[in-house]
Amino acid sequence: MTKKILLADDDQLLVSLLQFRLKKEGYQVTFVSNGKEVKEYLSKSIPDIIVSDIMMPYFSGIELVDFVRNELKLNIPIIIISSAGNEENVLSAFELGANDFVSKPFSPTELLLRITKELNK
Amino acid sequence: MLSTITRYSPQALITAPKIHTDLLWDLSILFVSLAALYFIGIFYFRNKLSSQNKIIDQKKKDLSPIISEFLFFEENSSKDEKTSYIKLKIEIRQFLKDTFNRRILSEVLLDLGKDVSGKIQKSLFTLYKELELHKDAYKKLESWRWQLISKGIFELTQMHVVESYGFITKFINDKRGTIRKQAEIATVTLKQEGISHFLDTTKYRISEWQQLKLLEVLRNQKDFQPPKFKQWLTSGNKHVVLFSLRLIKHYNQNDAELSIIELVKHKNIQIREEAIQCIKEFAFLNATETLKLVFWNSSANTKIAILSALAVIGTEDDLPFLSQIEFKERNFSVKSKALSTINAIAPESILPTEDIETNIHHNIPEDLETAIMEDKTIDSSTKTIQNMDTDKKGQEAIEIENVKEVIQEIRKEELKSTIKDPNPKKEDTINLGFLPIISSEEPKVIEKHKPLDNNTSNVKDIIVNFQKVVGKNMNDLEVVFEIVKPLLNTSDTKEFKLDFLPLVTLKKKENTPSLDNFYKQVPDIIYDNEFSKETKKETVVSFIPVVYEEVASVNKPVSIDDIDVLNIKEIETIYEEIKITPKEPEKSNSHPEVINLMEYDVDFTTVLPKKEDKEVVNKDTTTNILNSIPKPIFYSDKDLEMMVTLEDMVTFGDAREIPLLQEFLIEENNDSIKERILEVLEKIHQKNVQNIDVDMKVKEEEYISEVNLIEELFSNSDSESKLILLDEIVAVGDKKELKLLNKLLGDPDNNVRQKALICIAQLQNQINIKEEKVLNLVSTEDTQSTEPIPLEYAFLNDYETELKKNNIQAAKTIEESMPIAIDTVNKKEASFLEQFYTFSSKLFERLNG
Repeated sequence: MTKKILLADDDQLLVSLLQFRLKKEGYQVTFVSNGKEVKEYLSKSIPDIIVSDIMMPYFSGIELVDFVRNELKLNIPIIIISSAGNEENVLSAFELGANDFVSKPFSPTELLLRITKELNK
Repeated sequence: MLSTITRYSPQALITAPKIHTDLLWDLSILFVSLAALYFIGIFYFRNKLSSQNKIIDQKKKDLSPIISEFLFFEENSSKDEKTSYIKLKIEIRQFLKDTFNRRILSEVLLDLGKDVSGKIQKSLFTLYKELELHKDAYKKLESWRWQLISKGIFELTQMHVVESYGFITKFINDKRGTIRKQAEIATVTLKQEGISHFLDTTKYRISEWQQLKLLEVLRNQKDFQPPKFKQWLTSGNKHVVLFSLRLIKHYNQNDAELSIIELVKHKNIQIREEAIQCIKEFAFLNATETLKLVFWNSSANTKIAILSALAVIGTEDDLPFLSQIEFKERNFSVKSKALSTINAIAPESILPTEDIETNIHHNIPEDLETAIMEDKTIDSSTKTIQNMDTDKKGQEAIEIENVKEVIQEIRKEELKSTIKDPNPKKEDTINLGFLPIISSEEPKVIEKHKPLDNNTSNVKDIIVNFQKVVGKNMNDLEVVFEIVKPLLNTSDTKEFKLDFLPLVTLKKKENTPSLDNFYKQVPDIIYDNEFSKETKKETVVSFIPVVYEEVASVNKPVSIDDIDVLNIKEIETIYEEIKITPKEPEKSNSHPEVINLMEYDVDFTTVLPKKEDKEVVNKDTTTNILNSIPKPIFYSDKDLEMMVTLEDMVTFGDAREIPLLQEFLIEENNDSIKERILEVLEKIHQKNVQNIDVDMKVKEEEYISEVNLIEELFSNSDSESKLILLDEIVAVGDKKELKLLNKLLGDPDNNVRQKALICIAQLQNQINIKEEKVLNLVSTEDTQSTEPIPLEYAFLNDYETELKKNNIQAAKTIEESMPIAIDTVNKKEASFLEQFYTFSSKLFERLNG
């Protein structure tokens, strides 16, 4: 069964790059560019894993984690993508229930390995 | 009154301009249209930009899968993938023919380059070069617009186009700051040797922010081998020096000790402080003196930095310096830092003093109070010493105690220098080292005791058992001591001085009624020699009494050969009475005030040691000494008077005394007096010759000045004046004027030349006459001395001849210098000028009588 991955990032180039890479690996990738779209998507379906940027319009990565863990009460793995020097937010995300994080610039292969690891748990 | 009322008529000073109503309408329309244009323009450009952004976003969306395809393409991919890859390549080449598309693609790649790393990033850089987008960046470098150049450098740096290194380094010293900073980062990023090139070539300031960015670039470089940054410590650019210091500190390059220490003296405070930080970081112990040297001329922050460094590298030797800071420094922060530094070097040597209550009224229960009082009766020093000797912790405590004492002493000295004590207290200890060692007793065998071991330099390590001291005053003191034994065998070899300590004897001193007598008897004491050698090393140990077990006197017989003449204090002297018996005078002395000591019989032999001291002084040596003493010469009264007269002649006499001396010489029978007369004659002769030489020199100088005056007069005179002066020269001149007259033969005036010729002839004639006169005078004087002189004094004849010649020469010189006295005819015609000429000669004549 194909695993569903929700990619939430406002950087279209990076998202398309990751989408291309993850699709190549056989994952079903859905991409959203802001917090509203994330909410909409989550109200309709539940992915196997969420990969979200920490900085997004309308809805930040931390809020997303909080929303998923506390409101939706979902236990799906969440991987946070953060830019360098944003470690405090990452820490907050971890406290709220994020499973892993990658820091920009990152290798798409590294992210793929992390996703795979989380999905195999 | 009515006539004086002033009427003010309303005059229109400011009047509204007359504008046509149509013009107002026209202006209104103009402004409205301008506003409309402005808003239309804004909307137009806004829409244009937004549409452009939409296009860019769309193109980015279109490009992103293509780029992803390129980036994730692998050689071992399937045939379909390879086919699509080739199709995409053709498509993108078509796409890149448009400049706008190229720009978009560059932006896309740059954005992606920021987010990805590793293999994908490398693929991205390769794609950038393969698509020849770097050529667009090169074109930007050629632009005149600073923002384009800066953007071009940035692109090339981001995409790691190493080939562009040579192009970018040119901009390191660009006048435009933005380009320069971009070029600096690019140079350091693109190649490992970029940092060396940058530090070598940069002439401009490197800002703090730029330094941080460069450091970050260096830190992120993989396999970066930092160069030896010490080579830029000598740079002329102070910012390079500062940055190098920071890099040295960052990369722990501690091989530039001397340079860093030298930079502590740098004028720039930042460099100075950075160098101090480096010293602290690398713990350069040799920097201590330099830090102390620059301390007083530094700012408060630098002083604190220095003190921080001293806290790390300082030793106990630096404590006096730190104590001085405490007293001399006014800045509170520096003073506090100095104290903390002292405590860092010697922990807890300075205890808190601020807001500490000194007089605390403790409410101690009565039973506890009595117990404390009992404790006080126990000798505290014994207690502390014994406690300290127990273990190593005790030794450390002693060291701290010593440091405290040193600091306290320095403080005391400082206070003494600042506050003059009106009633200074005398030191309790008495230095008796200066007293000579005199003994009347027979020599005793000194029982030599084993000296204290060197290891016992710390006197606190000695156990001293004290016994009860009996006696009311110091004179009655009886001090008894039992054991003096070193406890610890430490290798510490500190020196200590004990000459200030009170003397304590084993015997009870009898008949010591007063303190004065006690001190009089102190010289009788001789310290054990070996012990004193051991105690030459200096350490102040003021709290422990020194104990000498044996007190002995020495009266050792010494041979005269063994005496060290240089050290006179050590010579043993035997004093004996000298007996002087006055002798009856043979004749009544005409000069009672003159005491002839030879008239008294002095027994000099009594000064020498007596017969019983034969073993001390050798007899042969005595006789040799006696023979070497010159024998006395005795004079009669008459002879003595003669000798006095001769001495007076030497002091006050001149050439006039010579005849009298000659008479004395003939009449005198005493050989020694004759010898003295000849000596006196010789001295007077020498003195006379010297006087004549001096006179000649004086006259010559005066004459030269006169000649110069005449020449000056001639040079400043007209022809008529010259003729008059020539007449005068004939009247007063001599041989030396001939030179001047010969000069005048070349005068432009014919009359002057003729007159000069006549004058020369006349003057020559006068000179001949004078010379004849002198010769006659000499011949007559020679015939006068016909009296025969004994052969014994034949040299006197020569002497007199010489003297006469000198006199004649002197007379001739005087005659020459005083022509008026000789030539009476000319005297009558003497003018003011002549009198002026002869003034110096007259003065000389009067002075010499």
